[in-house]
Amino acid sequence: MRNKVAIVGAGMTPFGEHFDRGLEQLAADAYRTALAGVDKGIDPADIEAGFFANVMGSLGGNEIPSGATLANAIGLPGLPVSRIENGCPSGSDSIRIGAMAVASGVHDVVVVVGAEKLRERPTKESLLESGRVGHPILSYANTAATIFAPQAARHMHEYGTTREQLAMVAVKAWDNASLNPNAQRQASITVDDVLNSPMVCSPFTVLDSCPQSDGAAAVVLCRADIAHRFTDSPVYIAGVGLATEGLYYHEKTRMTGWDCTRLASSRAYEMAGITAQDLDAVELHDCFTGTEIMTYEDLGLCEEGAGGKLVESGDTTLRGRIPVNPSGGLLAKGHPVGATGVAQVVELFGQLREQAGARQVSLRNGKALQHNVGGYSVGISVVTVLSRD
Amino acid sequence: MVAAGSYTPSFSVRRGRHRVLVANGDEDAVTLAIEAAQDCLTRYEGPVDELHLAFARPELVNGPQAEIVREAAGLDAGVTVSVSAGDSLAGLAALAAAMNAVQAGRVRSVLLVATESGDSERVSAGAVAVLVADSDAPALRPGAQRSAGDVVYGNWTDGDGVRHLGDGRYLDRYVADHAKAALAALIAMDGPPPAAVTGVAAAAVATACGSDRSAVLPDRGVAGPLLAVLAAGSAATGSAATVVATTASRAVALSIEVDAGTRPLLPTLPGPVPELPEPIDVRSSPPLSLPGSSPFFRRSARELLRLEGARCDGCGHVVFPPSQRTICPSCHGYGFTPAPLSRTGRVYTFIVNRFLPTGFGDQMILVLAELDDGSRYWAPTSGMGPDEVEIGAAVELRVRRFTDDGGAPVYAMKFVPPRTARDGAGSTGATTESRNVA
Repeated sequence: MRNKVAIVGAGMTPFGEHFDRGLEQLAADAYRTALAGVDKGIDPADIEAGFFANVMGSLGGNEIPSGATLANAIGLPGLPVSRIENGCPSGSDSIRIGAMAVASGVHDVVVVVGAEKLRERPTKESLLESGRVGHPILSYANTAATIFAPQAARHMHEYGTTREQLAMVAVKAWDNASLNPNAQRQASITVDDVLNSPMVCSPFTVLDSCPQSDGAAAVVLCRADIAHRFTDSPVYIAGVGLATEGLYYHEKTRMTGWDCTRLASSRAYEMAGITAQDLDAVELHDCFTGTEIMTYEDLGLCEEGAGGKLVESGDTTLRGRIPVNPSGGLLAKGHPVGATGVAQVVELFGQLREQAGARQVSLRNGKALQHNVGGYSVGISVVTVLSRD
Repeated sequence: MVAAGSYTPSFSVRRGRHRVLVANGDEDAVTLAIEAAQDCLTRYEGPVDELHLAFARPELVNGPQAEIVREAAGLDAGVTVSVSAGDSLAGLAALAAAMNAVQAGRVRSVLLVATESGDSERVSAGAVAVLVADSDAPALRPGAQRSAGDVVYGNWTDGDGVRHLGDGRYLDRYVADHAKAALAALIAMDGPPPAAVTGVAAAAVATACGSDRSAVLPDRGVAGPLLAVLAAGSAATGSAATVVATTASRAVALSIEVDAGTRPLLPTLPGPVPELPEPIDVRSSPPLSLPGSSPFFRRSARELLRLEGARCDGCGHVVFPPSQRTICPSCHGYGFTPAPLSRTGRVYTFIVNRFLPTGFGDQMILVLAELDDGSRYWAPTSGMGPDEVEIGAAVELRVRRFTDDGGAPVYAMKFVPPRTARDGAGSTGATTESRNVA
C-alpha cells in the first residue's frame, strides 16, 4: 500500500473544554476545516465514503455509536460511513481503514473524522467509567491511568528511570503546545510543577497525565494518482501497521513497554521501506509521561531502557535530533480520544508541508511517524508512516 | 476428626469493654469459611463426600453462599452440601450429625465448616473447619452430647446478638446452671471439670464447673464450640475430656476421646493483631461491569474461585481465564486440561490509584504478581497498605468479596500478605485475644 494513498486536506478544531459545542458541531467544524485546507478545493459530492472514530459512544456517552451520526453531522446522509472504535487508536485506525478502502480501489476519495466529547459528563463519570468496562474481575477498577502506570513502575524499577525524567516529557509537551493555537494547554511548566502536582496513580501525577478534552479532527484521503487534482503538495501514506498483544495484564509478555507498538511499527516501517533513523518528526501517544518514554524504545528511537535518558538529552525537543510531539502531544494539546490519532496526522501533514509555523521541525528525509497505543487494556497499537514524496 | 483448619482475620477493635477480632471490609462469612476449609484440606488427602456449613445468620442459608464455599474449596458439584444456621451451638449439632453419618457408614467423610462474621458486639470473627472421616489412624473422637436449658425471659436477640435485659448476674447464674445440668447428664458430677468453656457467660460457667480460668476461650460465635473441641482435644492426648458451650438459654456438654499418638488438631491461632481505632467498614462497594446475577459469573465461577487455568494438551502452555481462551496462543491446539495456578508469588509491578471512578473509594492498590509457577495474575490488594507493597514482596492470592451489589455479592481473588506475616510469624498465642478489657 506504500504511497498509493494521499492526504490532500487536513483540519481540526481547537482541543479543550468545548462546553458550547456538541459532538456533531465539533465533527462538522473539523470536516469543514479539512475541506477548506484542500489547496485546490473539493466538492463534497466527490467524497465517496466516511470513516468515523468515536470512543465515548461505547462508554456511555450521549453519542449514538453509528456511522449515521457522522453522515448526518456533515450534511451527507446516505454516505456510506463506518464508525470505528478501537480504543485510543480509533482515529489512526480509521485512517488506516480509510486508506485501505482507497488502496483497494473501492473508493477514490474518502473523509476520516475523529470526534470526542469527554467533557460532556463530569470527570469521574466520563473516561473513568472505563472502570466498569471489560472483565468484571480482571479489569476491575481500571482507569486510563491504571492501564499505563504498571509498566511505568516496572520501567523505573528495571532501568532506573526517574520521576524527574517523566516530568521532562510533560515540560517539553507544554513548551510545544504553547506554540500551537489548537492546543488545550497554553502555558509553561517546570519539572517541580509536575512532581508537586497531586498524585493520580503512582507514578503519575496530574501533570504526568493528559487532560480530558473535547475536539475533532478530519483528513481527506484520495488515490495518490489523482491527488494533483486537489493539491500540488500531498502527503502520502507510506506505511501503516496495526498490532495487538496480550489482552489482560497477566497475558502480556513484557511490562516495560508494549509489544503491540513494536509489532505495529515494524510493520509500518517495513511497508514504508524506512527505519526509525529516517524520521524527521514523531507524533506518539503520550497519554502519560511514562508512555512516551517507553514508546521511544518501542518505536526504535533509542535502545531498550534508554528512554529516560533520551528525553533528558533534549534530543526529542523541537530542535533536537528527532522531535517528538511537536504539536504538544496528548499531554498538552489534549486527548479527545477518537480525534487524537487523526489530529496527530493533521499535525504531521502540516509539518511535512512545512506549514507548522513556530513549531516547524527541520525536514531532512520528509518522513514522519504517527503512533497510538491503548484500547482499555492497552492491547492495540497503530503506527502510520507519512511521506512527502 | 482427622484434620482441622481455621481462619481468623487480622484486625482487632475494642467494642465497649471487649476487644474482638473483626474481618476486613471485603471479608464475610463466606470468605472466612473458604479460608478455614482450605486450611483444613491442606492437612487431608482423602476424598470429601459431604460439606456442611454452619452459619450464624439465617439469611445466608438460602443464597449461593454454600456453593461458593464448595467451589472455592475445590470440591466438585457432586459433593453433597448441607447448610444450617442458628445459635452458636449449630456447629455442635452438625458435628453430631456428621459423626452419626460416618459411624453409620453412610458417608466416608464430612467437611464441617462453622463460620462467624462477628457482626455482634462481643463476638470475634473467624471460621473453623474440621474433617470427620472413617479412619483407623489416631484421631480426636467426639462422643456424646447433652444439653440443658430453661425458659429465660429477659434474653433478647437482635442484629447485635444476644443481650440480657436484666441484671447481668442473673445471666451468669442461669447459664452456669444450664452448664452444670448438661455436664451432670453427660458424666458424673465428680468427673474432671471441662477442659474448654466457650460462649455466653463463659467465665461464670468455668467457675461454677470448677474449671481453670485458662479453660475459658474467647467467644467466636458459631465457630467457638468447634474451636473449643479442638483446644480441649489438643490438651488431652491419650485421654478423655469434656467441653461446654453455651448460649444465653442453653448449654451443651460434649465428651471427647483423644487416641494416643494423635497430632494436635488445634489450628494455629493468631498472635497479637494490630489494633484499629475504628472497626473497618468498607462493605459498600460499587457495581461491577456485570451484575452478580449475570450468567457470566455462572460460567466463570470455577476459574475465578479456584484460580484455575487450563494447560494446553499439545504444548503445555497455560491460559487464563479458560472460559475465554479455548485456542492455544502458543501451538494453536484446541485441547486443554484444568490447571490450578499457584496462589503464592511476588510483586512484579504495582500501582496505588488515588483517582477512582465514582463509588470505588479514595485509594486502591493493584498488583501484578509473578506466581511461583511462572504465571502472572493481576488483582487488588486486601489488608495491605501502600507502604507494605513493593516490587519483589511476597504475596498470596485469597478469595475476597469484590462487591455486594445490592445483596448479590461477587467473590474472586485478591492479594493479601503472606500467611506467616499475617499470623505474627507463627505465634500460637491463642489467649492474647483478651476479653473484658478494662
